[in-house]
Amino acid sequence: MVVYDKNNIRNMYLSPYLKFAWDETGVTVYQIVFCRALRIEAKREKLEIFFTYLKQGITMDRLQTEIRKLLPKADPNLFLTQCIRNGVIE
Amino acid sequence: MKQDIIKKFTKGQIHFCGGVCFEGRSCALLFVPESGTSLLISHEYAEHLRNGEYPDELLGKMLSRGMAFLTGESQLPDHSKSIEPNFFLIDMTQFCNFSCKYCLRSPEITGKRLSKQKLDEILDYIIDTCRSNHYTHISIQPWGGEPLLEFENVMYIHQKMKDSGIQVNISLETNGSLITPEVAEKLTEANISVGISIDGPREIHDAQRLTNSGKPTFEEVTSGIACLQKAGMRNIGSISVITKDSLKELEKILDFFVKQYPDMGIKLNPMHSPGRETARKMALEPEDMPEFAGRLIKKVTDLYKKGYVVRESRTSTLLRNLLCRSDSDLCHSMGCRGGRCMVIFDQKGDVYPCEMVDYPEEKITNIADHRDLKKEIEKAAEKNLYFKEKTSEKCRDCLWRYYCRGGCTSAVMYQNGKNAEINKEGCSLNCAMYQSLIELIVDDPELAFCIMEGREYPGKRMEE
Ligand code: SF4
Ligand code: SF4
Ligand code: SF4
Repeated sequence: MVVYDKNNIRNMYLSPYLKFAWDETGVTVYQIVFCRALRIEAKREKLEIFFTYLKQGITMDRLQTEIRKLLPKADPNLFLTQCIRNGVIE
Repeated sequence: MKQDIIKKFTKGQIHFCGGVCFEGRSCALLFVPESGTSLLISHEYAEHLRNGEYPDELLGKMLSRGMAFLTGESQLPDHSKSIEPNFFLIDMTQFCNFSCKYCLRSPEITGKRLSKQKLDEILDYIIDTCRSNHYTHISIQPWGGEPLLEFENVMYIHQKMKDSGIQVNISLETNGSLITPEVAEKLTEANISVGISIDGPREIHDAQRLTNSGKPTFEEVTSGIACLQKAGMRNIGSISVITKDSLKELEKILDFFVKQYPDMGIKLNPMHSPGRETARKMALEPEDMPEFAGRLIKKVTDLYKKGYVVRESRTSTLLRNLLCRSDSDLCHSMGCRGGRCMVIFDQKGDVYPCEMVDYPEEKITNIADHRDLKKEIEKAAEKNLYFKEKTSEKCRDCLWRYYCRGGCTSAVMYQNGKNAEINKEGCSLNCAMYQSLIELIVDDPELAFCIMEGREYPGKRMEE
């Protein structure tokens, strides 16, 4: 949970309005405010690192670097746009 | 705590829905009743909002929480009316070996139990409902009376559902007296969640919960809990009814649970249905609820500050509503989901919303008719009183309407036989709880997060 102030407002965070359904090939993230689902396929350990960064707050540049590293199959810009549009990342 | 209304506005293509800004010692909470969502912000940003200045970055966060929307975008989906029957109560027996002073059961009813054959038919009907609606996860609660009087049938439910391949969370609320080491082992093995009715320390418990012959029950109940613990059951819950008398000892009750049973969940049910004539004097009234809420929150926060973790469900559920809107509590996240999500099967195979078995006019269907449950609920929702929206003016402007919507329908119906009114006790309790919890959040957000998540408070000062 984050309290937004002028020092962290530009950082990207994981929305608190999410539910996660894990399976063998990845995770389905449900955004409960918009009732939308986003599917992300990758190893659980990598996804968990990714979500940990987002829980702590991360700059946009660093986030793109991490996506390239952790989720090499994803197009970073497209993936981020999808996450933001669906309210998964704010 | 300061409280200001932030009016709706449009900036470029962004429309803000309007909300309330609560400001405390540490930070501010922007809350939007329309969406039931919130945003924690610094004092500086709260000042900006009050002056009508909306930094772009803040608007971005508001958009992603459904507090604001872009021109042309549709409004938020409302799932409170959706029909997804996935929580099934089964009336196993009306008999009980206890005779608690506040019990809603009529004492004349003894020994009516669900036959194995009818149970089988009910389970077939549930399985058909799941298959035709592609439900893979459901919940079943064997209900009573005392459900463990029907222990064999409870285990039969487990076995039959396991064979069906549908994932079922079976939970039961029991008085605990029939839990032997063998019963405890079987329940643990079957992964059945157990909530034990225990009203607090011995003197408080024994003043309210007696056997049919009037004997105290604390010893039997605690030995049932010990069997479950010994069998390695995790997530044992406790359910305590708070009466006018036991309200005086609320702090003592919470101390008892956190110190004697630190791993156990705590559910405090303020008694507010009138029940039997003799029990009427024991029920809390709307005026008692602010006191209950205030003392509950004060005690829970004090315990956290002393280094305890208190697994009390009402404070954590309501905090979750305010901070991340979990939407999963059938009674307290989106208003009452009785009938739409939760239905009960009585011993004749009739299906009713939630606990409405005493109201024949509220019947949804009978399993013998083999009708599609979802469709039958849709029909009932159009004509039955139970499903009628509560129409109080008060709710329309209420800040907590997203989570409450007039409160518990069964409580209202059992109190006055109609469903046009709100549940006054629940209303008074919600208003007091939410206001105090917001105060807690904006004064000490870290403490609020710890209570919500049930983890140790880093700022604790251990008790001497
Ligand atoms: S244990 Fe439950 S069902 Fe039995 S008398 Fe007490 S409240 Fe009623
Ligand atoms: S019953 Fe009370 S708390 Fe609930 S929505 Fe209505 S006014 Fe609000
Ligand atoms: S009727 Fe009451 S107990 Fe039943 S689902 Fe609704 S709020 Fe919950």
